[in-house]
Amino acid sequence: MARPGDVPGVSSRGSLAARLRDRLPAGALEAPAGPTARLRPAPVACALPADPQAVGVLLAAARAERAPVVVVGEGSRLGSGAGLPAGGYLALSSARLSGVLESEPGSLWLRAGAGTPLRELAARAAELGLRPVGVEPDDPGSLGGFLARTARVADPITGLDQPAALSVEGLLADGTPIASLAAPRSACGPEYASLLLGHGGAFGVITAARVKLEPLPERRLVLGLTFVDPAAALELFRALPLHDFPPRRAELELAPGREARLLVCLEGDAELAGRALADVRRAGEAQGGQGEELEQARGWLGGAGAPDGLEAWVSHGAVARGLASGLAAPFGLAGPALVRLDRPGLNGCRLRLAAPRAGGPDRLRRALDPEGREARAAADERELLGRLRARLDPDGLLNPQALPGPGAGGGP
Amino acid sequence: MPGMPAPATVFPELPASLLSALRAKLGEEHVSTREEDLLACSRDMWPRSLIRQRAGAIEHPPAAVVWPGDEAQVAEVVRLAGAHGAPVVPFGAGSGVCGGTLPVRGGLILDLKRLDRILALDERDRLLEVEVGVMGEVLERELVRRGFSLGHFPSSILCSTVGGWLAGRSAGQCSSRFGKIEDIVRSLRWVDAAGRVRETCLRPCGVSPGSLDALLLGSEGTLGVLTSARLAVWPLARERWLRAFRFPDVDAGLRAMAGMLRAGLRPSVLRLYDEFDTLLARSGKDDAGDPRESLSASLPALALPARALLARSLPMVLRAPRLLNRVTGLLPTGCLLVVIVEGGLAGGQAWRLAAERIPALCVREGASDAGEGPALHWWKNRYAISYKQSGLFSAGAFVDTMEVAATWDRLPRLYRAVRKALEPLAFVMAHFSHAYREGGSIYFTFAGAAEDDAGAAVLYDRIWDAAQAVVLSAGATVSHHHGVGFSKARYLVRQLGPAQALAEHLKASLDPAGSMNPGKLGLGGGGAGEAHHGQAR
Repeated sequence: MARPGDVPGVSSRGSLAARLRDRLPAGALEAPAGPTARLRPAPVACALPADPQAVGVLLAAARAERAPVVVVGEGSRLGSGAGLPAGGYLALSSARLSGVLESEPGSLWLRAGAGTPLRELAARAAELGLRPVGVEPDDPGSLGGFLARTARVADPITGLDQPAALSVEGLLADGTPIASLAAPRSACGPEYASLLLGHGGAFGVITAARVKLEPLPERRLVLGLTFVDPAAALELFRALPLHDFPPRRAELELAPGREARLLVCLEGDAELAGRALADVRRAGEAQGGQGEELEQARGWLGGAGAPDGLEAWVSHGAVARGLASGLAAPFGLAGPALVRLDRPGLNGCRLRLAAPRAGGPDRLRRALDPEGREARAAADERELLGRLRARLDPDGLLNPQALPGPGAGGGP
Repeated sequence: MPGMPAPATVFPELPASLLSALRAKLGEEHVSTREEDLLACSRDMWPRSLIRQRAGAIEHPPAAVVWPGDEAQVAEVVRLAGAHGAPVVPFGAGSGVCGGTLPVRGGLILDLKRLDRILALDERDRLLEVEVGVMGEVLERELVRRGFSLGHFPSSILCSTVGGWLAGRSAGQCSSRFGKIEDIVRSLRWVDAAGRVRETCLRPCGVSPGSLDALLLGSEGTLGVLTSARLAVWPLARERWLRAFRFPDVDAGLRAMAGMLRAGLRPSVLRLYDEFDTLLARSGKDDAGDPRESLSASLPALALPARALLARSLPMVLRAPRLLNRVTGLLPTGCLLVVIVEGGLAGGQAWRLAAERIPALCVREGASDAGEGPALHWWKNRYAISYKQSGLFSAGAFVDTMEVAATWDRLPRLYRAVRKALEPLAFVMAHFSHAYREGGSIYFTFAGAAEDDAGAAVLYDRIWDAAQAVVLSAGATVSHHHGVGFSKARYLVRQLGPAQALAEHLKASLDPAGSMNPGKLGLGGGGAGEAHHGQAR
């Protein structure tokens, strides 16, 4: 039976490896090592190109031999590698497309190879007194992997989402080179290079990108607030993106039979962070909350100890409706549940639910989208993006396991 | 203006069967082949079209204009047009300046102004669902009535539609705080080239995966017809702080702008004027936020004695652009920066900290505090633009604008290089607006004149070619918020380089027959400067 990600017509693993070797310069293929050695099923061969031209040569050879290609970075997402081609594939590691290539701290960007580990990126940025925008400090992945699953991130100033990179360079599945300009915004037709961002590598291979940077904060303050009335806590949480200097992080825990707990992290210089904290505290206490400035977040701020359940982006209205009816039932689950909300945005937030196993992602999705509007839209997007993918990669060879569009981010 | 013969207008035609089918679906009154309607839709505000029209040339008339009343009718029109092989050109308010709605291959103008409904405003989710034909100012007024704002204030807000904003990726005057339109969009509904209604997923704020939105936004009708959108809205700002500063030069002003954003101070408006733009911004009475249209009104400040004399002499003055540029370059005006900070959306006071810090930051770069007056003046006149070109055109001259974007490190050099390239050809000035953390936009205004309209068209093309050659070699974008349309298509193709192949793949994937707004964005033939084709009537 064919598995997702399998490419029809691909010949046996052994002969594929030999034919690829025949087509490529000596030494282009290597034994799997590092993250590529952990891929299951294992690739028939592994390549570690050192520049975009070499990536182009590999893609051309793979096309000629109808060999699937799976791009691998730091291997931090190997757990989501379901659907890797069983019939044999070439693992293209970005490990040698690594390192900071140039930087322009005055314009808050740094250009790095796709294989650069995010930790290295953060360390290099820190030497400039800066840090990458949208990158979690403890993310074990590579730049290419981050961008392949992330199209947009929240702007640290406006809180609105913005493209995850200032510019991106790479090759499309058909080998066409593509590079966007280093400009903060434009009106130059569709954002063609967006196909490299957030689509799981379905359309091309990222070779380098200009990463957006922001100054390292001088101070980080944490405010804890508890509320007897969870609706008041939710109202404050919903208002956080409207604050003059919105919090860097915020998490709200709503648990049956307990007070609602809100943790808010504010960053900036000492005066700015302090003024922003005072605003949030004043607003919270006006709504009946009890505020306390904390040395550091105790418990779960930053994702540690997150409920092992369901996760979805939900509108503020959906959460309020959920709260009004005991939280769990509106999310398709029986009985009350522990709910954690974070990443408050203008229109909604991320919801994580510690759910009874009787629930499940599908039930949550149905509950949040009862009329199926978003599901139909997602299908529309995937169909149309699939048409484009078929033109660029008729045999579906590049990252065949990736699912472009909504729900993207697949791939190792 | 004499000099160019007025060729007879050739109107393309559509099959009678298509016209009758359209009339049956939309109603007789919503399908027109009347000459006055065809002429009204034969151009937008692209100045080159205006030069040619001044010479009596109507180069790109459509064959018909239709006004569908809802999304289903849009789909019907697209299906019928597709079945007859007729091009379809979506049309909003016609205020674009790049020829984006020119029917360069004839066909149908699909005027969307009847799709003008606000479908929903969810106050809790701060989410607006609105059809594309709503005029910007009408929408904003209704939102304000309900305690909200889109935060999107293009200077064309009085004469542009939501659909035009989406199709051309427009920017508002408060883009530093609220982003461009693509940052405000949460999902899109559209009719594809086959006439099927499509929709994209609601995109939450924050981290998000890839979306078709990024390809539909800015597609200028070449992939389908946008019909409605879900957009983020904000509660109204409770407080506003306005201030102006005078810098010794452009470089110092740019350093201050970048410094404010780097410090996370979140101003809503940051606009830096170069020396001549500063002169216009100071000139009082009838100057405006964007000073290009005030050119004829403000040139008296250069010691020309009277407006009447100016009107007669303006084309002559503009025919000596090198001298004019040098003289104005000696003006001791400095460069004016307008800063506006808004806050208190959540009732807090922290925004005052930003306001308190800005003066010191500007003074550190050599600025003097010009007080609230010039900023307040700009604020009050911020929409009083775009409607004063006719004076220059009727005097036989022309004026146009070019908005490009680059990172902070490139902006000063780009500004000087474009000025240098244009100084022999046109009178040129600029302001810097739409500032972001990594860089911003330069908004050049140039005015020129030639012996006759034929010469003016040639000069106009030389100016654009010279300016865009500099832009492309500097690695800046050919457009920041006006879009590409017909006029900048050849520059976009050069900017994209090999990636133009991707643009063509995308077009072929979503519009295989090539009937959606052909000739725009360098897609579907009819390159800029070519004559339209269609069956002669």
